[in-house]
Amino acid sequence: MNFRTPLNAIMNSYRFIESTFNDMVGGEENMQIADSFKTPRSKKKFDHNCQSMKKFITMGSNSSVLLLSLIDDILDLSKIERGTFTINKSEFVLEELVKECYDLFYFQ
Amino acid sequence: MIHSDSNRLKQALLNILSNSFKFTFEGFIKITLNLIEKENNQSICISVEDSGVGIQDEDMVKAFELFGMVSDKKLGNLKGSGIGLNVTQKYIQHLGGKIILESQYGNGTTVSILLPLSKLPSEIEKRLDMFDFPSIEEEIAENTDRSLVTLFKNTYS
Repeated sequence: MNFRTPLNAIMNSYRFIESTFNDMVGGEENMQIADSFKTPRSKKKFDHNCQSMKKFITMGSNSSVLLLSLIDDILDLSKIERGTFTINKSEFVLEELVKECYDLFYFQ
Repeated sequence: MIHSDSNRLKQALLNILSNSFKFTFEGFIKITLNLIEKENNQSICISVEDSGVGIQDEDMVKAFELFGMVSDKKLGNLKGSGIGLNVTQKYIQHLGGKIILESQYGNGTTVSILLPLSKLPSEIEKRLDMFDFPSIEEEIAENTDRSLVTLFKNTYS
């Protein structure tokens, strides 16, 4: 089994949970759910739960990206030692790449 | 737009950043992008500066060794895989660049990646002409105005 296979499943699950979560609590529907609470206190609790859920989803998905990078490092290191390491050049925007990397450490 | 190995550069940056976040308990972590022009060669400099614990001079070489862990009396034994900087250095070397480690013990660390901007292979250049995109050189020239771009500055306690 490939090293990355289980991790890819985790990452795709996070992607799915993230988009479902955003659909659920974003926009008009959220307002309807929030309005359905009778007391302001339970609304506050709902908002709080949403926030911490969002935080944990981000933490989980960020950590899975970092773990994938670590696994790639180890696989590349063994390729370098075997002498089969090759680089794949492509065009990309450096600023975006740097921002992407930086955002992964948001909750650390 | 630059032409390089985005995956390996990302892995390299993540290694450097995770070191910075690991050893910085208060202060800042700053990423700076610089375009360096020397005669006909252009290179890009990505530096990650932090206000962390720093590295002692005698440990600098050890930090790049495979499975080399720098121990510190103040921090005790830190756990890690010990491959981060070693594999990062190898990536950058394969991309034809250099990695520079500057540090003052107790006063933070700066890790800089110097990467030469390679010219496009003629095939891609032709393809670009076909679709009438601005060439890479033009875009770089546009970006040169901001020769010093401080991208992110995170302050936390």
